[in-house]
Amino acid sequence: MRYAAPIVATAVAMTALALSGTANAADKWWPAKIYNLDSGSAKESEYSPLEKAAKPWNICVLFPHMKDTFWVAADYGVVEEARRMGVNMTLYEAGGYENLPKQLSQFDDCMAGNFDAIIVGPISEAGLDKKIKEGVAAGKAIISTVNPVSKSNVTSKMTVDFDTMGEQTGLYLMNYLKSKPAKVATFPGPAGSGWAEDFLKGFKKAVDGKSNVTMLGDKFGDSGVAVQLGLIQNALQAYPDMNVIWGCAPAAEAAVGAVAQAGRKDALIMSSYENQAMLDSLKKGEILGFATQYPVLQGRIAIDTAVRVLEKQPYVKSAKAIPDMISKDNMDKINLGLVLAPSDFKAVFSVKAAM
Amino acid sequence: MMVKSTDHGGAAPNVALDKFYRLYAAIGFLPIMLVGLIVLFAIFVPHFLVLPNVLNVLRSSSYLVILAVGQMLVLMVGGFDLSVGAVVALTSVSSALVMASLKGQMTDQPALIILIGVLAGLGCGFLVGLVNGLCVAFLSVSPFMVSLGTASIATGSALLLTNGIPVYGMPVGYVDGFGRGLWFKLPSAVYLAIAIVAIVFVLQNFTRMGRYIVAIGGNLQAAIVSGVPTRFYLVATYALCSVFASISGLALTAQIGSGQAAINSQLTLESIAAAVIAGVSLKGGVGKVEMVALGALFLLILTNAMDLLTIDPRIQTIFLGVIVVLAVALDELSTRSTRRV
Repeated sequence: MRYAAPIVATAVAMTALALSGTANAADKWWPAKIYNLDSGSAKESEYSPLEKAAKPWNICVLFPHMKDTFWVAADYGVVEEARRMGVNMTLYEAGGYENLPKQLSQFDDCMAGNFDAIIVGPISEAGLDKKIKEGVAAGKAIISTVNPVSKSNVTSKMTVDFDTMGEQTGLYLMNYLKSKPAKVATFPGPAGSGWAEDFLKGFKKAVDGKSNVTMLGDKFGDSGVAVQLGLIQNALQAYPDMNVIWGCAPAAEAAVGAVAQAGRKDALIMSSYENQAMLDSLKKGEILGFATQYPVLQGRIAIDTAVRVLEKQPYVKSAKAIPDMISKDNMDKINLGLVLAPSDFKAVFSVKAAM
Repeated sequence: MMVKSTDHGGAAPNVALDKFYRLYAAIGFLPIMLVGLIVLFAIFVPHFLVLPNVLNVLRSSSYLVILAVGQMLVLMVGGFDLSVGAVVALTSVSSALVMASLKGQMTDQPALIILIGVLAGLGCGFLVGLVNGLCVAFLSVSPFMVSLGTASIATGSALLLTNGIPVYGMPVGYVDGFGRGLWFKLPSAVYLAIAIVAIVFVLQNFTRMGRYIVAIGGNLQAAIVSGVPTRFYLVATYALCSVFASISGLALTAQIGSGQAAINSQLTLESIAAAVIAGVSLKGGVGKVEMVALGALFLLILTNAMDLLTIDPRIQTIFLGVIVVLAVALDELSTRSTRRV
């Protein structure tokens, strides 16, 4: 078999080429739409990243926690982008929004380590303000992602308006209902969290005062599924004619079982934000839809922005994600790879650049 | 039992009031208050005393009853178990993961899949309880700190196993037949709660272990001197408490329909509140299982009525806090008045 070796070699090479081709095609997440706020007002623009980093920069990433699929999605974004660009990435998570002191000491670890840039999903802007100043003074690129930063002088920031996301869900609902009457109870999430109130404000902006909509009440509560289940079961008793359940993702998740149990499968269920359970429920047709702020995209853009700053390339100083409403009508048109991590993805805490 | 001798200053005693007082002293204030509340709510709260809502309250209180009964046993031996909420989460995740992974291999044996999944969940609970008990009994570590540590381990493990993603894929029969099922018109969790209350009632009133639990909590040194195998019974009590938490977790998981690592952060404190409202002493040695069941029911009835009245949840939390403080204060007063001669 004189030709066996070359044939095998060619086959292997072609397979490798084909594989790398598909990998690159799957990796190509741009151009992606974002709002660019650098001119002072939000302008829709198309974002494209650099092809590769010029050198393997060291980037430190700080997230509030990795306890849900939202932050795992943001992790997937930074990990995949670091791999694609060829930079080193180390990620620390604080273990929960109640752990501001831990995030502060992790920021110090980033400062003390040999890092060129720090990407932070701040637990609280006020809490991190002083650290951000120290970081900028030390010449580090400080990029904030996902969570809002208004006054702190970060190098670059990206976030989303929760009330815009809430409004998207409300507009979709009105469009879906046409003029059919709806009796709506809301389950926004923990009272006093800020985000729960913002989502609700946006939703109400779209549905309040519409002649075919009756708002029954707002039931705030801890964002565990069991607590939300209790609220929904009681609401099903209190409002026998409730036919729209709108709320945080755990509420929507609990609602799927609760309406089935109460024999109220006619009730429409919507979530104000994304997680794996919502995507699964949408695929099964159990919910009407949910809004997304593209956490994977925000993770990817954070890494690209860090590299741009370090390589003196033009970068966006202030960006906002353009949220979308995902429903069964548009599920196949939306790049879900920018919404959530693949379901078999396990959280990754460090990426070593291939030398 | 001594009843407070009322000082009437020579006037004729008010017989009705005295009778009420005797009743109050005999059964405590909780059952009286519970009956009063139910009557009040039935009159003033729409949809309160209708069958679907009664089933709803019974179902949602069952999970807390099971947890609170376990918590009561640990409180009675002078301990604390802060890991029950974490055990619920770990049980939820481990049982669902085991069932979901077996589903692919044993498609035609749902009963066996459920059995193995349930045993995996109970095993996790037993393990946590065992660690709690061994540390308390053999190392004399503060139960508060040990169970705080095991809670952290259990919560972390649950998160590690799931990545924050709910675990689906439990057999349909487990979710529809057991979790959301009605057996003889009552939710299945209610039978579980009744069975556990009955078992612990027998344990408390008719077994050696029941007497030993009171002895250990009342005075540990005296129990040791009297020859009570205190270490064995301490470990057994903590293990039992965790296994009950696991049972509660299994029922809750079947009801929700997926394994959840972040199932309910408030369960631990609620279980302690239900027990203390029911007159369980935080100093150990005192507690009645039937009262604890009422204590859990009391908390859930209050929450349900406030939800039906559509009271702002922020006000609800304040009100629940006031009720807990009031209940504990009243209970303390009633026990004092029965002690005074």
